[in-house]
Amino acid sequence: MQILWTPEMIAFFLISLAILACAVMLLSFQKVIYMALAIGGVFIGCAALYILLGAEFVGISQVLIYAGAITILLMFAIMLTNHEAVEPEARWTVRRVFSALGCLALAAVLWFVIRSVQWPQGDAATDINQGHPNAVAIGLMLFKTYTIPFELVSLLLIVALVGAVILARPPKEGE
Amino acid sequence: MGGAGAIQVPATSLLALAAILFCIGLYGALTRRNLIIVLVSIELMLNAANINLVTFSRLGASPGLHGQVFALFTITVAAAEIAVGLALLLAAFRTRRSTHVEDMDQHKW
Amino acid sequence: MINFDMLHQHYFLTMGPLLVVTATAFVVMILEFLLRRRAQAWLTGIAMLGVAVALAVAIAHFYAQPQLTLNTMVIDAIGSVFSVLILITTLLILWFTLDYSRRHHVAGEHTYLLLFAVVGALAMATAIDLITLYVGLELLSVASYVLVAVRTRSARSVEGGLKYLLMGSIGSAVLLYGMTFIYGISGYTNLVQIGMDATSLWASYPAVVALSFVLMLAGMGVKLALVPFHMWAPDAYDGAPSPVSAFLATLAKTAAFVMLLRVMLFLFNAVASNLFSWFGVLAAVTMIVGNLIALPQRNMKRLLAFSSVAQAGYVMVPFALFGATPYTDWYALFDSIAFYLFAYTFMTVGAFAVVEIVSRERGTVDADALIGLYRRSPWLAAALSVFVLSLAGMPLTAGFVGKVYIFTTAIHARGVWLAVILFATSVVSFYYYLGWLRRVFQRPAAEGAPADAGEGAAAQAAGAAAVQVVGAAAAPDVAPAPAPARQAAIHSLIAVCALATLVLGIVPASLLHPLALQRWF
Repeated sequence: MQILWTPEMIAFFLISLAILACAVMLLSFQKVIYMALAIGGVFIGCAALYILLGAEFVGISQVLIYAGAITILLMFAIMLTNHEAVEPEARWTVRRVFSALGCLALAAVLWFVIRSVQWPQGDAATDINQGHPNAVAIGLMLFKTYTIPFELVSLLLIVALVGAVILARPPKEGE
Repeated sequence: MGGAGAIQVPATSLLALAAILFCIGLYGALTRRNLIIVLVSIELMLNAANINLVTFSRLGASPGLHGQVFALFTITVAAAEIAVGLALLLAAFRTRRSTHVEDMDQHKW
Repeated sequence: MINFDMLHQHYFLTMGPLLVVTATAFVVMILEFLLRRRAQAWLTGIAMLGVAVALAVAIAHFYAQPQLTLNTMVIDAIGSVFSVLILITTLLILWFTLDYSRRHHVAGEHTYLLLFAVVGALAMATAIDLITLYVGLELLSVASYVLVAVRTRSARSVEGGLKYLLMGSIGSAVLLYGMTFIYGISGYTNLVQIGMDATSLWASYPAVVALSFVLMLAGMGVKLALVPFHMWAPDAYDGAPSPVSAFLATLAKTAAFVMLLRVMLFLFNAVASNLFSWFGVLAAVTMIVGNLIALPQRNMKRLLAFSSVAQAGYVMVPFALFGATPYTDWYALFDSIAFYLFAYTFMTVGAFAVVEIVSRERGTVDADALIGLYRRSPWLAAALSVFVLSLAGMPLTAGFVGKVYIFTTAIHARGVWLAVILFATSVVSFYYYLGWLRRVFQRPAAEGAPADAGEGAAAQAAGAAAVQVVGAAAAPDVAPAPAPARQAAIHSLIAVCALATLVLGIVPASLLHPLALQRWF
């Protein structure tokens, strides 16, 4: 395959390198707190990728929610539990070997499918934002086409809020 | 940068990146013993799905915003899921002072 | 872009039950904030009233012509039939909660979290849009994770919830990843639009369609606790409060089945003959492993969990037959799935209710708590016999009719190997179900010699010791022996479930006739 070394392509390679490096580090670090930092790197890398692909609103949301809220939440959870925690030295148990083989097989299948398929190329010149700024276009779609899932997701957030409070609060005496 | 204009990055590369990320996440979720890392690995899998969605929204069969909106929903759902997950983790830590999978041994079959 | 006229849509027709249940959930939530824990029973009563209204709405629209709202929600046969089943199940579970909350401390949030989960389940039954289905599934799942773990002082409960959450989240991530590929090759999230292109998609991208099918199947398999994705089920069922265990075994499973049915039929109907045989593999493995692994179980709730894994395998059999059956014969498949899920709901909720009473009285969930049940309470023994025989598939019960229906459709569709496995594993299941019955009609050890000496005696002695130890430990938790009148709620629940199991078994037409009038597609 002929690779055109346009600035976009170079940016893509750098970003994906950063994402994969962070993801691998995530699983090879011993200290849990470093892992939380590595996941922050993955989240920000993904956000950069979204912005490169012209999805500014999703990119910004990714930074706010994932890199901001979720990473901080993880930090809190680590601090509130045993923050000295260390992932124990890896032992090659049967389960681990099977998981590794299964994931490698899945990766091979995915790789094969993705490489073998001529992916549909829509009309790349279409303005997917219909002439609006990206955020406006997304807002229009969210409140017209996807009103019902939008309402349902608000219920989901209520459930998560209430649920997190119930589970995290210390049990009162007499319960 | 904006909605219009061709993107030079081939879809194949983006999808391959997502696939690798997904497999790393799945491997981590199945093998790690610290529950926080298991939760984080699940987030990796969801991020891989989001990369797919945003890629297809730009380079898919009929480019449109459906994919980006889907990605936004996924991000929200992931936030809800991890909030409950971490609260549950705190509750589990309170009952047994550990965040490791193998300490979860109340259930013997 | 389609210009929606957002005011003039059939909102109430397509989403009536969903809106009523949502409104009820908010009312209960606000009242709970105001009253705090003084009126638990009243709140459950209000919730039941709301669900009953929703059920009335669903029944009123039972035969409505198919309609779309905002291209997202639909009323059609699948939606109406399973909405009715979901709402009936909700009523039974709330009824169960009514009794449970009198004896155990139940978090005040329990009732409305349950209702929000039901909203998610109804969305799964009526949505025809990938995003909405995904959000509905997550609403149901997240609420269930919280409900399982709600007794935060019990390590078992929290662990069950945590395992469920981890496995469930991995499942949703895999499902979502599969959905993205379908979106990628079609460019839509709407099932109807994708379905219209299904044939050409299969022709152009067979590998991608197959990949996405397998990923989505695996994701749904986790939610349905099919083997090999079932390991969370026994822990979650065992750790959860009994009404929530019954909820997971029936309502959550029904919702996942209807979502699977809808997604698979809309997205993959054109390629059913190529792909749907995978369901058969999953069904066979689930039936075999689910039943075998249930054999050595002594914990009653874990046994019910494994039994519900195996039952899900039976329901998967008709799914596998869609490919081998011509379109004209699909009605029988829909009917058999719906009938079995109705039957399964009544017998499972009933069995969980009896197990709850027995384990509360004896202070243990070990199966030996059943010994001498016939002497203590002939009525409970009879009811349990009905449920267990129905689960095993004995004649004159709903489970028998359901199994025979699935069996004959399998034979008819030349899925003989699946029919044989269905039959053989049902025979295996007799062994553990009859183990319960043997204990129910056995004399207690104190009164007479146990039927089989040796191993049995040792096991009984251990069981009796366990009863005393656990009973002593659990004493502060359990309220003093309640007056019989206060048991009315749970006994009437058991009576209703037993009656429904028998009626469906003796007069199956009472359900099959309304189903036959549905125009499934």
